[in-house]
Order: sequence, then structure tokens, then C-alpha cells
Amino acid sequence: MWPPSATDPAPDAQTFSSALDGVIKIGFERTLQQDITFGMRQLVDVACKALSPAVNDPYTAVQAIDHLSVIFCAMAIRPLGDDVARDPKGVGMVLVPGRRFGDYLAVMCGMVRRYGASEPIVSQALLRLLSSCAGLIGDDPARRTAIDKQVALIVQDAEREIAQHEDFFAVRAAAEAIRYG
Amino acid sequence: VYFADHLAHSIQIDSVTTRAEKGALSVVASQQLGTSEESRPQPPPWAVPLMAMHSGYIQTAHPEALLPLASRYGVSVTLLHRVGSM
Repeated sequence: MWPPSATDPAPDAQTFSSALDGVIKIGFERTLQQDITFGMRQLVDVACKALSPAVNDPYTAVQAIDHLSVIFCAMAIRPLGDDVARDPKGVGMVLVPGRRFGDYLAVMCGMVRRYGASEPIVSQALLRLLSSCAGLIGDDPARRTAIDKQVALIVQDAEREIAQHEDFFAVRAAAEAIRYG
Repeated sequence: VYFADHLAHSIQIDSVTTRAEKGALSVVASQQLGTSEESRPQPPPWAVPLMAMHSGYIQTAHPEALLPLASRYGVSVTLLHRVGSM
């Protein structure tokens, strides 16, 4: 908490701590009340566990990515970022930090990409997710840049990890369809 | 018998992933996911830290509910952690 300048006196911290306790709910576990990443992380966990060598079930990972895709499509058309309440006269502001679209993509797609880079159907499922989002974001340059970045990372990782060139070509073709489609 | 059947189905992976998707979609449908993608104001050196009264995960936050108090004192308040963080 801060006043407009260093010379302005700060109000009593206890007053604000008590008020914060009333407007911020803290508990011992994550919930789905406002926490969208909780459900997304469950799907990412399913995908990552399915891709572990002990389970080796890439199709389950693809199913989890398809469910993630539905969530990302719903988010792609919504305002994201910080939740900011501002006084119309500009004398007060309260901010709760939030992720941008690119942050969500980096966290959720990144984990699955790293575990599934050697399996072409996993890379292609992630590219389908990105392709669906690309069709929904309109001309939002920040979101387009975020999608392009994830496409490039998927191609780079797939090229490094997939032994069979023919398998990699399918991934690269799907990526190019997003870049130039 | 019904409970055993329900339990067996509810832990199948298709049910788990469908529940996770529906849960996340309900948040998308019912909540404001953000209002500003501008660069975030950083607390200045004279900012005063406010400690939470409990430890745990941030489950919900309602900045608009704190705004009248912040406006009365003319201050800016920012949380350092997102909803879902500890």
C-alpha cells in the first residue's frame, strides 16, 4: 500500500489489514471459485502423468489437451490480466495481479510440450489448441505473438526430439498452417 | 451397488478430465478474468507492506470491495500474489 508521494502520510496499516482480511479469502486448498488455473492444472497434470515413461499413454494426454483447448477457446475471447479497481477521480486504486493470455499459454502448454516433445500426436494436439485460439483472437497483436511463440517452441522441441523425419514433417506442416493460414 | 458403480465411473480418466474442464469453464463463465493488460504499477520505495492475517492459498479476491477505503485515504493497494497462489 502506498500514498501518492513519499511526503504524504500513509494511513494506519492495521485498518487496511483488517479490511483486506474481509475482501480476500485465504484457505488451505485451491478452489474453483475464482481460480481458473486450478482446473487447467488438473488437466496438465493428467497429460504429464500420462506422458511419463511409467504410464506411456499419449492418447490420454491428447484427450487432456483437447479439454484444455475448450478452456483456452473460452478465454481467448475474454479480457484477461490484472483485476484493477480505480476510483473515477484517480485518488485510489486496488490491484489483484492476473495472468495475460501469453502467460496462460506458456505455463499450461509449456509443461505438456516439454514432456511430450518426442511424441508427434502430442505436438499436433498442442498445435490444434493454438490453431483454435488463433481463429478466435481477432487482431490482438499480443495474443498473436504469444501463439506464434508457442508454435515456434513446439516445432523446435519436436525437431530436436522426434527421431523419424517423416513424423516431424507432419508437426512442421501443422505449425506452418497456423503461421501462414 | 449404486455407490460402488458411481465411484468406479467417477475415477475413470474421462470423468476426471471432463470435471476439470467443466470446473474451469464455470470460472470463465461466472467471473471477471481481468480488466487490464497494461503494464502493472510497481510499489514505490515508500510503500507500506501489509501482512495477511492467515497463511494459505488465495481463493478469492474482490478489489472493488476495498476501493472505497483506498479512495478515502487516497492510496494504491496491490496484492503481490495471484488468486490460486500461496
